[in-house]
Amino acid sequence: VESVAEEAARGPLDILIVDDNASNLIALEATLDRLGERIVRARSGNEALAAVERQSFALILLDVRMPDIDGFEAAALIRDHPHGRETPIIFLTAVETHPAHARRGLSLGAVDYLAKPYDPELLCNKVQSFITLHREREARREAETALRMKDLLLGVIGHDLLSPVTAVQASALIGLRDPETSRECFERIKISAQRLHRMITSLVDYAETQHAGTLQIDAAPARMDELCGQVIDEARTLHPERNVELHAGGDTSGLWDGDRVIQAVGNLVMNALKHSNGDVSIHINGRDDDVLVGIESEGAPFPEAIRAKLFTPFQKGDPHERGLGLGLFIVRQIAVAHGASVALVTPPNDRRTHFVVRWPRTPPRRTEA
Amino acid sequence: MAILVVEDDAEVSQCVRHLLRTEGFTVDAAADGEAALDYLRTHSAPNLVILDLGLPRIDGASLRRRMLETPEWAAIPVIILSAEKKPSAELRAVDLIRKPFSVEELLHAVQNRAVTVSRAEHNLRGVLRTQR
Repeated sequence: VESVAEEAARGPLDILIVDDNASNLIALEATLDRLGERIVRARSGNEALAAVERQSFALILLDVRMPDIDGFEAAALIRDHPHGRETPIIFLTAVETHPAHARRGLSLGAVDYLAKPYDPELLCNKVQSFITLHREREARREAETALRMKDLLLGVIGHDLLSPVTAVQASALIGLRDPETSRECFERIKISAQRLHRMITSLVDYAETQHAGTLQIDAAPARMDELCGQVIDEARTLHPERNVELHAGGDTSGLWDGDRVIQAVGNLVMNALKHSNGDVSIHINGRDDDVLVGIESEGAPFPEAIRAKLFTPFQKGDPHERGLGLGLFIVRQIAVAHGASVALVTPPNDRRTHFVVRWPRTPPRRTEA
Repeated sequence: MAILVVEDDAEVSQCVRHLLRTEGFTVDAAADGEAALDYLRTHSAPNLVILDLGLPRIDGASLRRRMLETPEWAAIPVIILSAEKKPSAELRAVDLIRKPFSVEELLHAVQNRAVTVSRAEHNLRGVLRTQR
């Protein structure tokens, strides 16, 4: 099994080439073809900017003399865009070959300034070295992220698991010391052990996603309304004071891993109960090829700052919140393993929090590693 | 002797309170820093605070700083209950108990305080007597 980092390091990278002259563009693309990367063409400075707005590039080759905005202006504008802030730019020019032009180009943050006609062999070597640098930088970034996750994991084990362990140990000691109150102690031991079990299950799921890249699922014929019904039953048992409703319509049958679906929908419903005080409802809508499951609750508007990192592991709304911050991460992993998608669809400042999971009726077949 | 337990983890808080009650102490609880401040504002000062550092809303260290800045709370002794090895000295705790703690450790720390409190009361009475 290959890690995501290795995969990213191997796939072709995107190179943007910009020239107002069509035959120059074709010649340049032919020259770079042997590198095996993906080439994106732009016929003007404006087209180049539009491309940079759409995606980021590993390298940009930019003609200097172009109508409308020239290469220098385009480079400055590219540098202003978040996608283009760090992308190496090489200028190519047949006309502006004076050292002063080259200095201007380099002052705009270009990494090189080449005169046309260029030697194809040399240009390819140059481009190759920037591509290699880019790959190395990406690999380093991935490794740093992995390291940060490992630190977070160690922090979680050292800190969050410690509370229930403390409660189990202290309750046992208190119960042994004072047998008259042992019932109360057993009750606490039971609750804390259940909590430890939930945390360990989450950590095992997390480890599985890190090791295998995805969660294993065991799909079998199931009905979404029945699976969600089990979630509702559990939610009502745990929170008898709250109103939790289920609405289902359309064909709700499909091939899913029932336990995993219950876990995912359950996490979303428990979150909804924890972060709101109004009603919580599950809406199931069976469509042609998929079944939509929406989880809605009413409460304070969803904190915007959390939105971007919603499905990141060890992310908590409040750093001192009980739990590991793995709940939504696992929801997403269960969804991904089913070929499903999960999203928060609440507009900013809305008092409703609304998550929707789109479950395809049949999960994608796993490609054997 | 009245003790305030400031701990966000319900089960850990229950354990501490349970133990101290069986030892005859009067115990109250707050589940976060904000609740603890409310308690201090609305009740007479406890003889001891047992404080967890990782608290929601206002964390334990900030709560302790607020206590030290407020004249009527600054003298309340604090025992820190934490997973941390060495909380900052500026928090001026009279004792540190690391999680998971043993019953003896906790009782020992609290009883140490109780002895100090009763000795202080004894001395104070002595002072009052001689003044009379």
